[in-house]
Amino acid sequence: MTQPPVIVTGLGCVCAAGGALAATMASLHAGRRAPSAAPFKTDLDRRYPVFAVHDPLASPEGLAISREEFESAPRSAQLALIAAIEAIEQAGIPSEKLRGARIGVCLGATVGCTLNDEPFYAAFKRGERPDPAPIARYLNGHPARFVARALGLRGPAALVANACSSGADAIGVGRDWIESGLCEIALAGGSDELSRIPYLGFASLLNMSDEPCRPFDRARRGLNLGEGAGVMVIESRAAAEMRGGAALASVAGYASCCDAHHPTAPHPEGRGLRRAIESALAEAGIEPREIGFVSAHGTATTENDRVEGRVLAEMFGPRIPLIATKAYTGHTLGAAGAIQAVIAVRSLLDRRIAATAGFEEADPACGAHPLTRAIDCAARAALSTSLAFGGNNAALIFRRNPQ
Amino acid sequence: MNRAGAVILAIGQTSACGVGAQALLKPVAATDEHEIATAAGDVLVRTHPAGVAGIESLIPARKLRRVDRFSQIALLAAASALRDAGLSDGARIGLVFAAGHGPLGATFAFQDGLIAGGDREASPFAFTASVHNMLASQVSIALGISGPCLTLSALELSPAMAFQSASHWLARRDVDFVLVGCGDELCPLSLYAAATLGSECGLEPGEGFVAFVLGRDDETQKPIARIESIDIFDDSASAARVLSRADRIVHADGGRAWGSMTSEQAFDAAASALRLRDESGAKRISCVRTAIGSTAIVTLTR
Repeated sequence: MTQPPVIVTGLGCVCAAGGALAATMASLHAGRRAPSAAPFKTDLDRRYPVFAVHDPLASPEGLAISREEFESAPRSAQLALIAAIEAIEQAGIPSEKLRGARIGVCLGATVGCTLNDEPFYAAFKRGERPDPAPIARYLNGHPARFVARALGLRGPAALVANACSSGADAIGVGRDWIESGLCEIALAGGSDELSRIPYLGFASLLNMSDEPCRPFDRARRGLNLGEGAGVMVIESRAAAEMRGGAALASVAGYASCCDAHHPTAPHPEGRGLRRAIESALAEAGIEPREIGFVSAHGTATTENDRVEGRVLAEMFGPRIPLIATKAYTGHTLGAAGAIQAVIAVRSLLDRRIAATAGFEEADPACGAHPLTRAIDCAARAALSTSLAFGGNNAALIFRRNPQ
Repeated sequence: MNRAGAVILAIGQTSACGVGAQALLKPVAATDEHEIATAAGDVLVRTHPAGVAGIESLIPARKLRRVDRFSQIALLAAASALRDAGLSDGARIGLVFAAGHGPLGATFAFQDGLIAGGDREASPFAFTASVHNMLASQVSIALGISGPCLTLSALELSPAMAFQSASHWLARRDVDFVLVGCGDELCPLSLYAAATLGSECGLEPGEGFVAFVLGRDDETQKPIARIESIDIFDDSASAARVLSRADRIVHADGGRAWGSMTSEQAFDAAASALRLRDESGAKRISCVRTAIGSTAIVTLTR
């Protein structure tokens, strides 16, 4: 079944590198990153830096919900809404057109779809019969439903819970919704917040670094967690033309494949990632040589970077320009694939790819490695790759100036 | 109406009704009763728990090591559906799971470990098991499914969303078959939620997992039933138009033997598909779930 590609008309991003996409890109091009101590206490012997959004999250104007409802919402939901509003503004959809509009909301999440209220649960375990308000907050704080409610949207609203590839897969699912006619416009991306639970979980897995992460570097020691949101406005070309929207790029290809190998480790030969990239290329109808650069998953863990780097080197050549945005954002879990994709599209439009901070010496085992200085890039297509717990692999291809 | 163009080739399930698709047509199911202490006093909560009897006949014991109970429930349903469909090429099979609230047992097992032993005793196994898509991962590993793999959470509307994604993958020919799974797990906190937030509507939480093997609707298949359409409406008029064509309408209202779950609509769809195949009478059944102003309708035909 051949369909016209879904187009991207707006981009939004909030992360440690910046409170909006322009600030984020400025940080990347300045090689500036801002790791910090975790915003919560633990009893661990080691301290692992994180990439936090430091700016206060102010309630946007003109919402269909009260300021109090915004302020009491889970942080994941707030971050998602802020990025969504930035994307909507760039897409040129006026706020008065949002209320009652059939616009889908598809977001990747991990913390945002779990009840992680430790004090409440501890009180419950002690038999104290606590106020169930945290349960209600969790149910009402479903990030996709929250964004839809806050903007007064009608249309499908769902979270993709595919661990670290959630944000990329959410863009793919949003694309599917538009192709199938479930909606003509969708806010697609991902959002996640820093939380003690995944921090302690990743610490227990011994794959966090106690220094700022160094993706693909020979001396890399693991990941840093981060928080943030990346959202795109994607729509059918017909919907965009009808309202006078301008296409920034097209979602030329998307594919997902499962390794079916191990709960946490990637397939050693990158079997699922390779198939996902091949399928996305085939759908986009382009050759590997037409890919101008790759926005890589690049967590800075030993195995991810080795497997991903090798697959990219074998498929695109060892000199394929590569950016690993987690050097600036940390690993934002459910948001990661979306933030990478937003940055990839912006880089395509700007025709310039930033260097990756923290990368100094190539690891021969990785095959490919990130840029050490920014370059101009005239290519029209970019690939964004995500690998996840559970063996999920996602590949997104964006094309500038859609035909 | 959003046409689906997919067929149901096999169904596997485990719930309070027992194990196996036909068990859904039983009028009586296992229940437990719990006295839950709340600030307002003790509340009686009736639940509909599932079991994993017979899983070893489908999955080798070595593949079940360190697989938590909810994953075993899902594996039992998924493995029996794949067996009945006679599928073997995992590369052409996709997997869509509707997560509901995710693996609750594993989520709180991790926190139990922190409470008991402190931050330094955080369990990597418990953390891994608590990740929402680990259920799908365990199934993909055990059954060798290497196509696209998606875990969705839209709470009560999750089954309809899962069917919709699966149907679209089939239409695009990304895969030839899709294993769609929907389920929920009971845990002490879900009973507390039922006793506090759900007590006024008599919520009886259920537990279980139902798996469907879907294929494209073409001449070569001998399906249990056809999925005619999958619709998600925000207005009652559009929903009424679709429902007016149904011979029978099944509302997910928590009143059936499998109890109240976010995945209830999927269990309704499974039972309805079997009735379309095995019983005379209705030729078109619409399974309905309403939540937060939206109505999800999955319509099945013979």
